[in-house]
Amino acid sequence: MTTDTSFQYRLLVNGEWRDFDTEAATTLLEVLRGELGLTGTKYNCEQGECGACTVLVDGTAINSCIALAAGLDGRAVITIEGLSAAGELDPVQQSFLDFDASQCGYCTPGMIMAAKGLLTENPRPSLEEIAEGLEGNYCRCTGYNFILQAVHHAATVSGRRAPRGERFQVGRS
Amino acid sequence: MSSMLDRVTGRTRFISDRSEEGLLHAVLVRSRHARSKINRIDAGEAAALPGVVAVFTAADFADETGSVPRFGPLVADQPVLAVDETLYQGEPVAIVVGTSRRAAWEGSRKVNVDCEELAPVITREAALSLPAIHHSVHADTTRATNSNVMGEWTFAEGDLDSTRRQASLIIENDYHAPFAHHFAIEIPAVRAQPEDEGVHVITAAQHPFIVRQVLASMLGIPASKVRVQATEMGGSFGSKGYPKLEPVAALLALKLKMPVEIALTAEEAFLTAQREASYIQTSTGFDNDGRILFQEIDADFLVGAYTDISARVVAKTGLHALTPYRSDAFRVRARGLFTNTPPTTAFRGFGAPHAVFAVESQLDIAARRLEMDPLEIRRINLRDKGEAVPGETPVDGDWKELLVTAAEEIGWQDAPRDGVGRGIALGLKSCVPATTAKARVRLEGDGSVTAYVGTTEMGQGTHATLVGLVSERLGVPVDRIQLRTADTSIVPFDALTASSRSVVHMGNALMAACDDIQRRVAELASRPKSSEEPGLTTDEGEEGTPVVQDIRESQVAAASIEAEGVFGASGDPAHPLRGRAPFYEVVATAVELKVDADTGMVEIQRVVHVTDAGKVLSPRRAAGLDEGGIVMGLGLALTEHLVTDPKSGRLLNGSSLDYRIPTIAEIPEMISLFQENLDGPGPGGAKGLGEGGILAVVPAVASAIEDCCGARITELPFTPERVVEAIRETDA
Repeated sequence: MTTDTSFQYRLLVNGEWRDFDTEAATTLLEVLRGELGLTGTKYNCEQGECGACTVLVDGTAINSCIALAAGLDGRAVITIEGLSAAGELDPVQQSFLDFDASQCGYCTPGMIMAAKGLLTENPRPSLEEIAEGLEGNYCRCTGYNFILQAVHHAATVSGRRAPRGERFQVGRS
Repeated sequence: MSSMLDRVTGRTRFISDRSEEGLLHAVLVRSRHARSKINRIDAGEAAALPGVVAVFTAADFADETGSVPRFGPLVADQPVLAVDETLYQGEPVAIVVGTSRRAAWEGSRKVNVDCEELAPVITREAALSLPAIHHSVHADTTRATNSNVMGEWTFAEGDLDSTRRQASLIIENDYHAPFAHHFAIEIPAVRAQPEDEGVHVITAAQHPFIVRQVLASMLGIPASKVRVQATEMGGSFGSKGYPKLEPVAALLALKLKMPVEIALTAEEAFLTAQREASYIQTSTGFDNDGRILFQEIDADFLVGAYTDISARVVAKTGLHALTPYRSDAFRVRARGLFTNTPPTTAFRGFGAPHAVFAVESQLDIAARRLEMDPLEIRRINLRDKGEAVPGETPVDGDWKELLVTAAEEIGWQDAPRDGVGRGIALGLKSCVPATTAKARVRLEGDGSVTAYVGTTEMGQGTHATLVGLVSERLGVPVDRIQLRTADTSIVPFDALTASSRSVVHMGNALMAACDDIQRRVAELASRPKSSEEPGLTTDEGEEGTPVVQDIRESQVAAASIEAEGVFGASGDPAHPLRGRAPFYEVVATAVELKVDADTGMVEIQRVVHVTDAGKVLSPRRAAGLDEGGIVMGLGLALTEHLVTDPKSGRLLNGSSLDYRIPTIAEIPEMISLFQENLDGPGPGGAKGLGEGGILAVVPAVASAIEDCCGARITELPFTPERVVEAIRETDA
């Protein structure tokens, strides 16, 4: 079918070393979903545009759909499954839960991993910095507002004040 | 059903997340041309590739008369694979089955389609002037007249000619909206496998019972032998509503006697579902006080190559275009035109956003000419609560108050900040008429509850809302309720999950079932206990709800009580949509924005959105849905359009890279408000919501742009080029 050369490499996936022997063209996304069954990582465009496949490599958020797995030999990958591996939700996950920052849930893992990467680089981002940092992650359901609030909340240590735009109310005419 | 915890941990299982041993993978070979005549398909090279199991063309599925199966929810006009000709770019002409998706994909590239490219019908002008693109189907309509008119609907009342003569101001404009794509982040996929004497289809789809009906009819087997199981969807917005891939998947499974998956790419998704393009020519007459005297609409919708559900979209958009406003006379003609573009289907708002764009823009243009407040011109023309609507459900909400609330919140009476433009608009969509929902509820022996519903979940949160309703009605905690959903072999019939109907329809059906259970529990509890009977005791819950407290384990099975509830919105065969609206989904949207006159860039700053909810069942979910709708509406207003080359009919921007949906960096401040008058037909007086956010965004943005820089734009989207051009024209 193809004459691809196979490559041997190892990745530290969610804290565990895994050995691989795949074709050179195999993406990290294919390895995670296909070889390891880590289907929490999603995909859409397979062009590095939508962010659904975002994972952390050595703490940096990347699009796994355009990253060749063999090129990441020896590096540490964290997926959505690895974020709450100890059974406790990561603060970003908890915040998404508290803020209803997910509707269908399909973009959510990528969005959370991208937020995680952003907060690693910039632990106290402004709303504008969050928006800039998550621009590469599409969500078609939520309108992003609750996501913005959730990430901002996760980044705010005291974090109890009502976030901007957190306004909806019910009234009678 | 999956929970919010599942979603934030990536544990929600979408169709492509299910692993299955021995699953075959199929990849469609698609037409490169918008229109072509197929001479020959050579699959020899593909079939010989390692890992390729089989290659099929239409001929392989033909019956003894040579007829190839066709499908569609309204008209079975779409062949499972193209027969002799292709009618749109991306139309499936063959399918390659492999042991892996990669093998099938490699095979698909080696299928040689020898075809002759034909001049396609792409534009409205071409559709109206050129011969019919359909030859083999639509025999009684387009073939007889050799026309591309799929269907035409006219609604009229009053004496248009005499009213026209009385008008002191007549505004005439042609509003255009292009094809658009739903862009659900999860790409469509389906699995099918033989089961007993029939077929089991697992699909990311909104309407499992419609899929079942279409498959049973196409396959010529009883509906009971077709099992359709709908998975949770990663967004849909209409794109995964009516059958798309299920027909060919079911045929493959039956032919190969193996489980088969078809999983599309994002590029294929663009060619699989689109929103109709529209041209809405609108003529509105006013008197000097701004009162509407007449409205006349000629709307043409380009619907693509096959009908899908577009006939309903066109008819319904026409019927309800003028519902919010009074006039002495009106005429609406809505036509659907076939084009050599991918089939169009339902998309959040179901045609209404285009009609709302036209009708609301007309009011703002008139207000400007008459030097009236846009709020005032709407106030004097909007129907009052309870007022009759010709041939339809009377006004079921306080629509004026929606506008007043939005206006107050955005500060309508105060001058906007420097350089900021404001717009306000009302949007209406009617809920799908004459559909039935059934639900089954089982009170288990231990007091927990299993509820069976056909409602599917695509992110709208209805599953959680329904569980909340059952919990409240039966006094059983949410974590002791299990929802079983959307498998036609398990759940009772439900027409569809669409049109913001589920809270009203399925909600009521569930409540009826719960009430039946309550009655039977009360009856059991009032009977004297004997050794044969379950040890059932009841207690008054917090609000007088009998709560099942204790049933001895040995009698669990005997103690379960099952009840079915039904809710059916009544039909009317004489009605153009076969029934009146169960309720109206009505919203008011106010927008503040800035325009950079040099670049034409529009920056949306603030959006206030008010929904007539009847009763809000979950404030956060409701607000989230409205915000999602608003942002989708902003996409429609500013960036989203499928660009098709009018000569070749090729889609020029059918990829995630080139089709621009809003990102988190572009969202404005959003304020979602709800009017709660407890006057809806659903549980507690609820109306449906969820589609509404998108309805009125476009005209509000259009008016805010005009308010900001004097330019009025009637063609979507309001791209920088169009804004600059409109400013130039205004200045000239």
